[in-house]
Amino acid sequence: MLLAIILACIGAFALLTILIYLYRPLYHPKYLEDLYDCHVVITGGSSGIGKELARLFLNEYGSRVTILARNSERLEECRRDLSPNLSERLLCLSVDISQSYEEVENAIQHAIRHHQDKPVDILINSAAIFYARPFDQTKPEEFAEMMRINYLGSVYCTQACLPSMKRRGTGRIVFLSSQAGQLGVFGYTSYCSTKYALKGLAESLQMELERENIYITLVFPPDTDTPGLKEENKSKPKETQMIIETSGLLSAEQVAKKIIQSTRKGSFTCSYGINGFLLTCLTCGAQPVTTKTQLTSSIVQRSGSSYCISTVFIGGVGMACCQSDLCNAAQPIHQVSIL
Amino acid sequence: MRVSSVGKGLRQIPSPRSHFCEHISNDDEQSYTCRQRIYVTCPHCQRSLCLHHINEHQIIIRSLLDSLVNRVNEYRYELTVTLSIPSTSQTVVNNCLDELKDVIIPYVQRTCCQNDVKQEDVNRVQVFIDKMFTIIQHIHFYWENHKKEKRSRSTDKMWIIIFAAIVIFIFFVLLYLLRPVYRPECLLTLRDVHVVITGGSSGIGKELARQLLNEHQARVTILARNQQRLDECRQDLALGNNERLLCLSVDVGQSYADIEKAIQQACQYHGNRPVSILINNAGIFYARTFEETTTDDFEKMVRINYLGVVFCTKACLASMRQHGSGRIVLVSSQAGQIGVYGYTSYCSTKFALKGLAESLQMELVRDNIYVTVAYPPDTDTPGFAEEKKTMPIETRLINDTSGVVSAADVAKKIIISTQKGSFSCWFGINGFLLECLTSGAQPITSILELISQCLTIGLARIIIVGLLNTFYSVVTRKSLKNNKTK
Repeated sequence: MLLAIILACIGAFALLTILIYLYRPLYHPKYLEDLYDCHVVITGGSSGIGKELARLFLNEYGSRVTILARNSERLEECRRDLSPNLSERLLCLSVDISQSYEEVENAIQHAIRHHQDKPVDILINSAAIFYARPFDQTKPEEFAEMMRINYLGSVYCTQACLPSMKRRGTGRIVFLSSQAGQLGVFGYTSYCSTKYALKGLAESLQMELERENIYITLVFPPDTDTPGLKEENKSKPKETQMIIETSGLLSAEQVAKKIIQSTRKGSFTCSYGINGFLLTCLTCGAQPVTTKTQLTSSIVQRSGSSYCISTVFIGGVGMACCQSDLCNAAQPIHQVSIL
Repeated sequence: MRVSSVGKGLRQIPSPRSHFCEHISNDDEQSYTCRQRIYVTCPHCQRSLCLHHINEHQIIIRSLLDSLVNRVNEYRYELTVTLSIPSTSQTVVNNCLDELKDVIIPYVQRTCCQNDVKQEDVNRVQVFIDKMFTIIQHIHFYWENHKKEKRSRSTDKMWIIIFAAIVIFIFFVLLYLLRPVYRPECLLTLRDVHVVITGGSSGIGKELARQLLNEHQARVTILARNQQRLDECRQDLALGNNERLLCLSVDVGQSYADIEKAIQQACQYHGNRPVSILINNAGIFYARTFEETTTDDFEKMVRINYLGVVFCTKACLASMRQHGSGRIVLVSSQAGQIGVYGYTSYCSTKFALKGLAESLQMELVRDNIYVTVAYPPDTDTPGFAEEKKTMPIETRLINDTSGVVSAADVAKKIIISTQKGSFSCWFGINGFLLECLTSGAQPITSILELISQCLTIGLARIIIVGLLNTFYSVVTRKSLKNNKTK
């Protein structure tokens, strides 16, 4: 009897090893050891997460940073803040990445020339706008604007940086999505769509760029303590606030640190905390894996438990929305029962 | 219990009836008879013995016999109960009892009173007694174990029942906690229901219009760009359905005002009926690598595939709310669940539709409006034929792994899902796996969906990673071939 159990365990272990070999990670990005003198382009780097990233890259790693942002005032403040001695490692360019592709291309060329003809090594697409508004109160133009800045802006920057990355033979592209890019929430109809679009873009783009040794990282930060968030909080609907309260607030520095770590490793996703881990496992779908541990953990964790947790969560927020006394419409007959 | 065979005890041969105690005792090589005048007669051997010596006379074997009889009495009940003793033991026991009754007791009776009892006789009785005790112990042991087994079996059963009860209780608690977040009412009849189909002049949209008109007698409004195709479509569908079908030429991606006007016109045409079902089917698709896709291509795709959907939904929402119920269908694609080589722009827009659907459903649940997202695979339509002409080789190789379905099948399933109000609509076993895999944080409308998704999620992830491996190897192989030819 004991012998049978031992044999079964050995058999299962052997099967698992074979499976892990068959389903080994699809590609192995090289770990970027030395970031000194790496050319990093950060869009939307004049405030928030982008600014923290620039700060870390300049001070801790000694890289060369190019910041692209719209508002020149904020750019100036940011420059004074990050490099008071006007170092030539930091270049701030004012450009609206969503307007036209030519502008973005010109800006990238300018940046490459400034940094002594160094092609772009790491591109961090952090430029985005976000606000929470119910679907009816969002104007059609606002939908178009958000899609343009959040999605098309990233597309243009990526397209502009790709030729130089290909010439160099290596590169990293980072897309800053959000936990709202993993699950849809009340009030974020426009924002969720753009962040989901980034996910679709990243998955298909990675399949195309894998043979060029360029690796994509998708980052899913939760609510981060930035000026952008403060702006958003002023006009957030109550339902969204109730839902978002369930997850915590992170500092921009923590978010930035983890982003840099993931970029160096070249992993496809970057998530924060236990919530982030569960959500990533739940919604990893057809994403590529870069380490064996990711694969096994995603398979093991993607058991019904994480699925059930999310369904309970969705159910809970669904109830919150239905029972919110803020809803003006008359309660229809087919209402969900009270918990 | 050693008994000396020399001296002590009684004379070998019983004397004829004497009137004094015949016990002989040995002291210092001198033996003398007791000759006590007050005596009793041993009932077994009729010898006369004084009270002091009669105990000694009988004590040797008597004690053995007494203990044996006591033990036998103790277990008499167990020994004679036939129910739980196996038949072999029962035979043995019966033999022993017979031996006791017929041989030992008479023998003991005969020999208890001899002058000296030989050690071998004592041994023989002792052996018998030991054998008897062993058997009795075995049976006792067996009897105890049997009782214990019965008790333990019943306690085992009790634990199993308790455990099963706890599991069932937890199951029902989970069922309650995880019950579907909303229950859409099934639209049993679609007769005279106002359905708006964008991009309905060809492909899946046209099949949807055909089925809704002919099989369900609904009222259909088709919005599409190309006037020529609209006319062809009208000629094709309107036989006998003349006034139920309205074809309007409008570009859904251009301006919101145009769409609003078109929807109002449609509502008025169909007898002031508000829109009940909106099917967002308008979409363009082509496969092109990221570098070859121009910025105009990206913008156009976003405008038509995503913004068009948003504008149409916004325009129809007011009348749906007025009606008190509604269904919104977003026709995504299997490329909206998994990113594939060559579909960078297309995948992004279809993923965006999924994000829109999830957040929109959370907002619309209290208005009794339900969102359905359909994920058809490659469908046999004119649009697909167009796309195949310019598809990169890698994409074609990857697409070959899944089949092509007919537009009629796709349309049928979409209509069923819309009637039920389920959140996602998948096609085929591939579609089922992909849906379980990418279900993520979608709402559920039936507990069956939850169970099937929970059970298959881990396996689906394994399968898809294997599939991704093949896709990536196709892509890398292609690049090597290209490099070689260069």
